[in-house]
Amino acid sequence: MAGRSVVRTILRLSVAATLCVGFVQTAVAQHVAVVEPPRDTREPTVVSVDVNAAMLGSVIHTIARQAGLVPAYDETVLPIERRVTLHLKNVSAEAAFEAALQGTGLVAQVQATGAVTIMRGTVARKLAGDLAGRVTASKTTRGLRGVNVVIDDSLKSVRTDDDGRYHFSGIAAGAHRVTVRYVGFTRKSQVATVVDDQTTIVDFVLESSVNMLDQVVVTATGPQRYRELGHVVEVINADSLVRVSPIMNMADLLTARIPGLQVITSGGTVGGDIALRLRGQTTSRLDPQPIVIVDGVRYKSNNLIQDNSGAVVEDTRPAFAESRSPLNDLNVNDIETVEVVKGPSATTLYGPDAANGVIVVTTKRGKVGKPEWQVYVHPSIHSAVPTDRTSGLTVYQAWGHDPTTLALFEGNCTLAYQGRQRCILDSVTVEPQQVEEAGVVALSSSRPQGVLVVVYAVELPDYNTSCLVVTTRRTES
Amino acid sequence: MLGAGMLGVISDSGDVLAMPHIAVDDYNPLVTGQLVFRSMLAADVIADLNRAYGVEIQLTDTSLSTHKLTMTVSTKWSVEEMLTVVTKTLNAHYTRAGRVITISPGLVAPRIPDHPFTSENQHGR
Repeated sequence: MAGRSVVRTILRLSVAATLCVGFVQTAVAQHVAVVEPPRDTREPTVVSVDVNAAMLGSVIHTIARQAGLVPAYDETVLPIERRVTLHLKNVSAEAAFEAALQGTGLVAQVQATGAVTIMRGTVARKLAGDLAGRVTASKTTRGLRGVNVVIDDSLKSVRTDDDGRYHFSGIAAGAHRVTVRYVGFTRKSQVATVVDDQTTIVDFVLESSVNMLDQVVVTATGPQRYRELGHVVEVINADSLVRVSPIMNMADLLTARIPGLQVITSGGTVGGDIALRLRGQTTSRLDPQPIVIVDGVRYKSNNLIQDNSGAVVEDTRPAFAESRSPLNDLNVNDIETVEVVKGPSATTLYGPDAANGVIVVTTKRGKVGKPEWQVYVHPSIHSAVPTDRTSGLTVYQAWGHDPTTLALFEGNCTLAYQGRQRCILDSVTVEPQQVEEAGVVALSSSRPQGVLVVVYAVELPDYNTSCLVVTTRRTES
Repeated sequence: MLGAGMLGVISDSGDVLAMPHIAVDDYNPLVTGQLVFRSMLAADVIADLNRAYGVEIQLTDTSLSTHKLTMTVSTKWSVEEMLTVVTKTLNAHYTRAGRVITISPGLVAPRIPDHPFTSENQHGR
């Protein structure tokens, strides 16, 4: 009592002396860290408590201090001297308070001010409140409709209404990070402290942001953004496909790669004519095939054929339109991409001939970088592979025979092996003398884009064998 | 000579009393903007709050005045925020008529907000 009297005297006199003003009940009060009650800027915090038989009052202050909260309680109600044992690691402050107050009939409620009130748990319920707000555009200040609003830790999400407003119900009390996303605007996040039984308002103002690049498609009218295209366009990346697939010609490249495109082979001949149908047979009398555009130029096979006498005449066969396609005249190794434009909408770009669709072929161009060499070989054979080494050792070796044992060894270069890319005919060496003997038709041409193509056609009439060696050199543009 | 963490008091008789190692924050509400109450009677807490906020808080039930409260109130809080903490701690609710605020025991039933997007202070809830 003497101590209390001294304190009261101090209180009276200290005001007059203007030395200090205090609110003191006991001079030996338990030390409590004074923390400025934070507002809605706190990140969701976790606490750890490891105490054995500690006083409840001390535990409450420990949890509150870790969570950046300030406790408020009535000692008439809270048994501060009750002994509690807690071993909690990285749990939410709400969970820690709940564990500490277990059995007391009390609950802890976090207020918007950062105070946590310990009060009678008259209703055993989970502490929860509402979260609402409005999302507006910074330029127009109007509400944005359909904005995705997500509470990150709960993964609850809603979309804003016509006025840009959103509303969550039953959100656990405490700090939550709220994120809003909307196409064409920058994403924003805020930390919101939800208070039990109250509605917390969190508004967002979004800045517009346009930084998405559009896919570009090359059409007859020049490169266009993909989403502006009014028709269906399928793209085959031939350059990468040819490297990994046994593609020998355009028929192989197109078959089963474009939905709605039928590739019909007219005969069993390898490299023979093919007929194309986009979205089925569209006409009974006119040419049902799509047109072919190569590097922006209409590409078409002539209709000249050799008759039985060997003379070149115009092909007047009724089925000509269906049986002849220029596509197999193209070398798939020279093709960068193939775009297929389906349907009558292609006529807006390519005219009425394109009523059945368009095959747009873009060939390779020179690229900046180190020179790159690609070598490939097209062999064909008119008779059986020679089995007698005496009939020509060079050719005998070239086709995969071991001249010492007269037996075929594994990996011989038959067409089937080449089709599976298991054989590279690097062993075919064409000596100048041999070329001369064979009557080689050698072609060499360079193209302006920096692609050099060298074609050797080797005829070996003695063995009814021919070999076509094509070397493509890609250099800097 | 007073040093850091010391309290100096001049008595009626002019004696000077120096108390070392005090909780400085308890004596500097004007500086820190915080009113710190530790095991303090509710009646005394209310008196200090009346002076700090310029309001007149009345307890309808005198039994409430004997409750011992521990809390920290920031003077940055609004009157409503302060009253929410006090009434929740006392398990009470309040009504306000101008400067006069009446605190009564017991919690009131929650009111349904007029608009779902409007922040609603459930007095004493």
